[in-house]
Amino acid sequence: MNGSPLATAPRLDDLPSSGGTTGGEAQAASATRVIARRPPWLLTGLATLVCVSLILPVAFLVWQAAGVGWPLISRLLLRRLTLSLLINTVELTLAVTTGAALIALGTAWCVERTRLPGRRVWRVLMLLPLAIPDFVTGYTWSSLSPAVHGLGGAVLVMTLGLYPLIYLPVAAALRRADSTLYEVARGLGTGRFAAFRRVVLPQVRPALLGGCLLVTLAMLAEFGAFEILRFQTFTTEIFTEFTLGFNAPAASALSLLLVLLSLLALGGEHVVSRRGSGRANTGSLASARVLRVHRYRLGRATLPVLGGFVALAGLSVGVPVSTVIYWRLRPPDTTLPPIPLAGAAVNTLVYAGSAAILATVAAFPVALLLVRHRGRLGTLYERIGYLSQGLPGLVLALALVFFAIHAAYPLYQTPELLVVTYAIMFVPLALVSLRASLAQAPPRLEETARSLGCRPTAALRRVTLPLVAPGIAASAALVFLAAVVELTATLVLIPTGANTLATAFWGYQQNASYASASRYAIVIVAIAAIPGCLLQRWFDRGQEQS
Amino acid sequence: MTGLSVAGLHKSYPGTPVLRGIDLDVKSGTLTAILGASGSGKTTLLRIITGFEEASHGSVTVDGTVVDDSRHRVRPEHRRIGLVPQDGALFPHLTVRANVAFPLPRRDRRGSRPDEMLELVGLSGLAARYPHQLSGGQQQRVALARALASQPSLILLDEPFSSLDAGLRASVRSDVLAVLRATGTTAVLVTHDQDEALSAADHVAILRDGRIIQADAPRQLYQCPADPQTAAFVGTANLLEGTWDGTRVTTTLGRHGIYAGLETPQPGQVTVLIRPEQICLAQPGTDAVPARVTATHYHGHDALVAVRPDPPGSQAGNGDGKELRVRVSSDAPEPGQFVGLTVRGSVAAWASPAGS
Repeated sequence: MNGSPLATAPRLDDLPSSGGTTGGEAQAASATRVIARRPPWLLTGLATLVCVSLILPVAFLVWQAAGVGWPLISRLLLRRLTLSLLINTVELTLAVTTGAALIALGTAWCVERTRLPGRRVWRVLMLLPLAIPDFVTGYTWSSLSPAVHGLGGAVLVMTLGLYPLIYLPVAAALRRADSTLYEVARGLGTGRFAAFRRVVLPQVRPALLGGCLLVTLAMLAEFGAFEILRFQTFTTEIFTEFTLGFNAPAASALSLLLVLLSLLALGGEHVVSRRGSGRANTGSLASARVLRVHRYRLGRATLPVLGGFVALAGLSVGVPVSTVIYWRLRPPDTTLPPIPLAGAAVNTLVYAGSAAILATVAAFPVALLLVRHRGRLGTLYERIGYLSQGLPGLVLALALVFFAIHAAYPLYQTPELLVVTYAIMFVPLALVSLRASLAQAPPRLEETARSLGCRPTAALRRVTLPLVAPGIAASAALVFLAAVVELTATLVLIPTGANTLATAFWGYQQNASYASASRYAIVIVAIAAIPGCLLQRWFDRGQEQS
Repeated sequence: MTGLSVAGLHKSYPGTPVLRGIDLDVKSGTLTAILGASGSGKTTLLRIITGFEEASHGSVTVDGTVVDDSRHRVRPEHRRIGLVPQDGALFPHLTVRANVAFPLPRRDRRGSRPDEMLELVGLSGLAARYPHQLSGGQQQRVALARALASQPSLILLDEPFSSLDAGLRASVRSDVLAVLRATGTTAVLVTHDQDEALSAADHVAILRDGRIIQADAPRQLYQCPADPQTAAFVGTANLLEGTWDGTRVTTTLGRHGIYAGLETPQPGQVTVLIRPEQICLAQPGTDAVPARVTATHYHGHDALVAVRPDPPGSQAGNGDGKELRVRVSSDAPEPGQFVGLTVRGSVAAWASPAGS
C-alpha cells in the first residue's frame, strides 16, 4: 500500500457500479442465492493459487520468526524502542486520520452540495495530491525548510497527501445520496447542523469509515516520507534494521507487530461499519429514480470557503509542484555518479507494466469466483483479499527476500521477484475494480447467450469480457500507477545495479542533492498522472451512467 | 406432435422441495401459459427446461429429444430453446442488429437473417441503436427477434411483459403473439398475471406449490377450475354453499344447472362457483333474490358491485347473507340501494369438504 494514490480503490467498489444496475444486481443476487452453483474446478483452482500466494508471505514471516525462536523475539519486542515506535506510530496515525477526515468531509460537502464557485476545477484539484507520491511531497517540504520535520512535519505532509483517500469515497457517496432525505429532515423541524449530523452523516458513514481505513493503512505502510522527515516509525526502524544491520530477527519481529497493527485497523473498521450497516443503504433508496440534488447557497461564507479551498490546494498541490519545478531549474548539485534518466524510466515502465498485467490476470479468476459463485470458499477468499491489504509493502518485500534467500536463491534480486512482489501487493487493488465491473455483467446475460447456442467459453468471450473490458483496463491502470510510485519494496528488492525512477530519486535525495533528485520526481509525477487521468475519466463515466 | 414434454419432474434443494412432480405437454405450434404466484416454482421449472438447473427426478423432452432425464443432460447451448427473459437481457455492448445476429454462426451474421428478424418484429429502423436507446417494449421485441434468429424449437417467455407500463403491455403482448403465431413457433409463457395468461395462451397450466393443478383451455379453466382456490386465482369468484340433488344445484340465488362434462359430485353439500358476470341485477320484487348494494368499484369500462342478498326466510332489508360480487357494464347502483339478483348460465360445483 505504499503507493498511496491507489489505495483509493478499495472503497471505490461502490463507485462505478452505482446507479442503474442496482436492480439487475439485486435480481442476479437473488437468483444466485436460491441457486448455489458449483464453480468450475479450473476457476476454483486458479483462484486458490492466487489466494494462497497472497497469504504465503505472512507464512514466510512467521517461519522466519519461528526460526529465530520465541525468547529472542520477545526480548526484541519488549525493548523501550518498541514502545516509543508504537507511541509514535499510533499518535501520528490518529492525528493524520482525524485531520484528513475533517478536511475531506468539509470539502466534499462544499463541492457536492453547495453552490461553491468553480466546482469542476475543485473536483480535480482535490484529487491531484493522489498523483504526487508522499515521498515527493515530504522531500519538497523538507527542502523548503528544515523546520518541517518530526511529528509536526509528518502530520502536515501526510494529511495534505492522504486526505483525497477519504474525499473521493465521501464525495461519491454524497453524489449518490438523495438530498430529499435532508429536506425531509429539515421539514420535520430539524436544524441545519442537526440534520447534517443525523441524516447526511449516516449516509456517508460507510464511505467515511472506509476512507479512514485507507488512510490508516497507508500511514502504517508509509516509509519514504517519514525517513525524509526524520520521524521514527515501525517502517523506518524495520528498514534500518534490515539494510544497515541486516538484522533479520529484529526486522521480522517488528514486521509481525506492524502487520498486527494493520489487522487491528482492518478489524476495527469491519466491526464499526458492521454496526452501522443497517444505515449503509440509505443512499440506495434513491437509485431507482432520478437523484434530486439541491445545492445550498454559501452566501456570505462564499469568500472564506473559497479562501480555504485555495489555501488547501496551494499547500497540497502548489507547494510540491512548484518546489519540484524550482529544483529542476537549478543546476545539478551532486557528486554521485549520474543515473541515466531514460534507463530508470524504462525500468520503471517495464516493472510497473508487467506488474499491472500480472496482478490483473491473477485477480480475474478470484473476482469471477467472488462475484459469480459466492460460497464458503468465496467468502474465505474475499477475507484473504481484504486482509492482504493490511500487509505493508516493506513487510511483504522482506518476506519475499527471506523466501528467496532460503528457498529460491536464484530468484534473489531479479526483476521477476520484484514484479511478483508488486503483483502480490496490488492484487487486492485490481480485485476491487474487477469486482465492480463484473457485477455490471450479470450472469443472466451469459445464460441468455448460452441458451442462444454459445458454449460457456464463447459466452464469456462474447458477452462478459467486452462488458468488463473497461474494468480490466482500470484495474491495470490502478496497479501500474501504484507500482510507479512504489518506493519501499523497490528499495529492498531492486536488482543490483538497476535503478527505477523512485530508487534514483531516493539515492540523490538521501544525499541532499535536491536538484538532481527533482529530475526523477517530475517524471514520476508525469507518469503517475496519465493513468490517474484515465481513471478519473472512467469514474466520471460511471457517474454519468448512474 | 409434442413441442415440449415434462414428465414426473421433481426438484429439491437441500431441505426444500420446489417442484413435486410436474407433468406438462405443449403441442407444437401452440402457446401455453404457465400461471403461478411468486414462490410457486415457475423460475425453477423454467431454469430446468433451459438447462441451467438439473432435475432431481423426471424428464424434459424438447421436440422429441430428451434433454434431461435426471441422469444425462444436454447442455443449454445445444437445447435450441430461445429464451426471452424478463427485461429482455439484451447485450448492452452490442447494437440491436448485433444482438439479433448474436446466435448466428459467424458467416451468417452479416447476412440478411438479422434484418428479416427485425422486420418481423417491426423494428427495422432501429438496427443501429444500442439497447439503452430503446423503450422497454422495443427491448422485448428485440429479445424476441434474437431468440427467433436462432431458429429454436421452443421459445420460453419469462414474464416478458411484467416490467412494461400497463398501457404498453397489451400492445407489446399482441405484437409478440402475432409474431409467434405467424412463425408457428411453439412457445411457453411464464407469468403471474391471470389476465395475460387467459387472453394470450391456447392452454393455461396452473402451477401451485410445485405441482400443475390444472392445464386447460382458458375458457374451460375459467368456467370449471379444478378447485375453489384455483377459481379465485384465475378471476373474481363468488363461492357459495349449495345442495346438489343429482340434477341441479340449489343456492341462496336459486337453482342452477352445472356445466356439462364436469365431474359430477355425489348428491349432498357442495361449494358452487358463480362468476360476477353471471349475476344480473334486476328490479327487486320480481322473482329475483332481493339484495342490498354495499359498495361499488367503478372501473370505467365496467363496475364491480358488492351486494348482500337477503336469504329467503330472513327479514328483508337485513342484508345478512354472504357478500357477492356482481359485474355490471353500465349504470352501477349506489350503495344502499335495493336490487334483485338472477343468475344466468351454468355453474361449477365441488363436493364440500367433509364436516363443513
